[in-house]
Amino acid sequence: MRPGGLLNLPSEVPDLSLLFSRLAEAGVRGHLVHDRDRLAHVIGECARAPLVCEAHPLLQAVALRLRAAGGPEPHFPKELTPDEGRASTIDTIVTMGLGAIPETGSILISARSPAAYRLSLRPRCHIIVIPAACAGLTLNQALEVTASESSGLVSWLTGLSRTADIEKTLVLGAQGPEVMEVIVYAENISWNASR
Amino acid sequence: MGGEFAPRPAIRAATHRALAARQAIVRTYPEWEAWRDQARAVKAEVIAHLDDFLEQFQRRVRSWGGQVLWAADAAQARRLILDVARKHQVQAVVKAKSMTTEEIGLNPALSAAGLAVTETDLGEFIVQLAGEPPAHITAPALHLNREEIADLFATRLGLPRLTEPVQLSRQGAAYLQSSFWEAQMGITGVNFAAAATGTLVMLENEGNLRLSATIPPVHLALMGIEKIIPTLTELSVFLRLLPASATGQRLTAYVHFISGLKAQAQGRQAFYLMLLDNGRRRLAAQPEWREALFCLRCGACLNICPIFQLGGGHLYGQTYPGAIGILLAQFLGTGADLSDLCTQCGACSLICPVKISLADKICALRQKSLQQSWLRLLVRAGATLLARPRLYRGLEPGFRFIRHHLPWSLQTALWGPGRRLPKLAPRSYHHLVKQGMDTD
Repeated sequence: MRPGGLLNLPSEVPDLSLLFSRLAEAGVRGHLVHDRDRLAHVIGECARAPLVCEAHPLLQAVALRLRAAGGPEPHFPKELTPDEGRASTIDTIVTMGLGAIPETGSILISARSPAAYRLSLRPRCHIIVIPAACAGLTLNQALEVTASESSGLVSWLTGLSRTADIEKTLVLGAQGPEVMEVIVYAENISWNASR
Repeated sequence: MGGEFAPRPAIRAATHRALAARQAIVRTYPEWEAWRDQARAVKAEVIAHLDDFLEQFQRRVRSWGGQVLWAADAAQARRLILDVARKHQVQAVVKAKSMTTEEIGLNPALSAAGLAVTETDLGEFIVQLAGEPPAHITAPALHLNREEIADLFATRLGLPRLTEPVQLSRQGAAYLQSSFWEAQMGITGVNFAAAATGTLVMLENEGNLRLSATIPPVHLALMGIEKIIPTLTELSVFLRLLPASATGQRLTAYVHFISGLKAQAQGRQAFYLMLLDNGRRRLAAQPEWREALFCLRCGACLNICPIFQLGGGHLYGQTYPGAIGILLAQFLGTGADLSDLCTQCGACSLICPVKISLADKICALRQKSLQQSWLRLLVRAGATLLARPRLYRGLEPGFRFIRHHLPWSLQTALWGPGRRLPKLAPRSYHHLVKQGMDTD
């Protein structure tokens, strides 16, 4: 079920100022794009090879544009063995997100594409594309989206991986990506396409 | 009482920083007090009907394919986890930070069975290398400085000796990366469990929990039975209270929701949920004490405690330190009497996000404490003696003789490990005044 329909979310792009401000506080850049060419352009600006994309129709379509514009060649993993995972040297991964919570600056991702989910902590850079209709979730709406998600695994990402275990010195990206880019995508897409 | 008394400036500084971060975020939440009341009400409801919620929860977890194991105590929990490891021919285990696994003494049991265990939270990894228990619920290596950690990495891992915290953190994280793919089983704790949907909720900041839970072919989650909440809806309050109280964050970097078996290249990952009692039902059955089960393990009562700030977690010698640890030691731990590790300042009760009346409970514990009754007798005897100067002066040479000849072992027993009873002056103040001598 499309979360926008489930929660009766607005069809227009919500006010993204709080979301982008919270993301910036956490060292994450937010982008708003309205079409696939612009989406390919922003991904092309942030991504470096080797590039992996979640096997999602939107990202597959964008990958063609990216390649045509001379950007890195994306790979679409179905699943990966431990040997492949251990040896993985991906620089950038692009995945779809379920939505965002402006109050906390959190991004919802799921394991609909298990390989992409499992790989997304390895690369230097994680780019997450969120449908605009789901970019203004309240905490309670986010919990509803999470409860209705069928993949059995949802993660809320708030900023970068962090540790302050050594003399309380904050280190970002120690066990996860050092860079996160969030792209709010405002063109209508089929939510069921990834199922 | 626990380990050697060793005041560490690092502990005081770190607890003060954590309190400042908490205060900065709480100040922005006008609803904070209302959330505390709501959270307390939810916890009270759950603990009052614990078995009903647990029954519903385990049905839901089984319905999505999870296997549920019940452990009455720590020994049974260790046995069952080893059975799972044997069944799946596990040789290497990766663990995310979990105080519940500390509570059951899991690591020594796994190691004794020949399994390689790697703690993957950076702080836990450091204390594992040091061979020490965690010093704090949320900051395990709080008591170690950069030089000590650099020595550990160099001597135990053979890594180049770096001393900047940023370099050390990256060095440790890089060392841990391959362990997730080499392990056959990942073990994690659980922060909350929604009974209605059978959803497990786990909070973390590093990402190691997610890797431990999703990469090995077997995932085992261990949770105390008090972690239940009725539905995910109630979680919104707890998600605001816990990260703010623990680390001064609006939300931890990662919150994971598990409500199904995870797909892997070899098929679905095997998932086991272990529900641990270990004294919790006994605690829930006692209305006077059951609110200790409301605890979210945020660590705020540790950070604000003047005794914890001075001595850190090792002072308590138990899994759970601080004010909440004093209570839990009676029921979930060794039954140790720690009620003297409290100044009764009451700060813990004021800061607790679920309003556990910690200071009152510790006071009540003191009332029934055998150790404290001896102390009360001693204080009463001392007061009687000091109220009779002539009697005191008559006994003084005897006291001096005893103090002078007191064996070291008895001094340690009376005054605590690593501490020395102060020597008495050669002559008493009263004697000096009487002789008309300079008393400076």
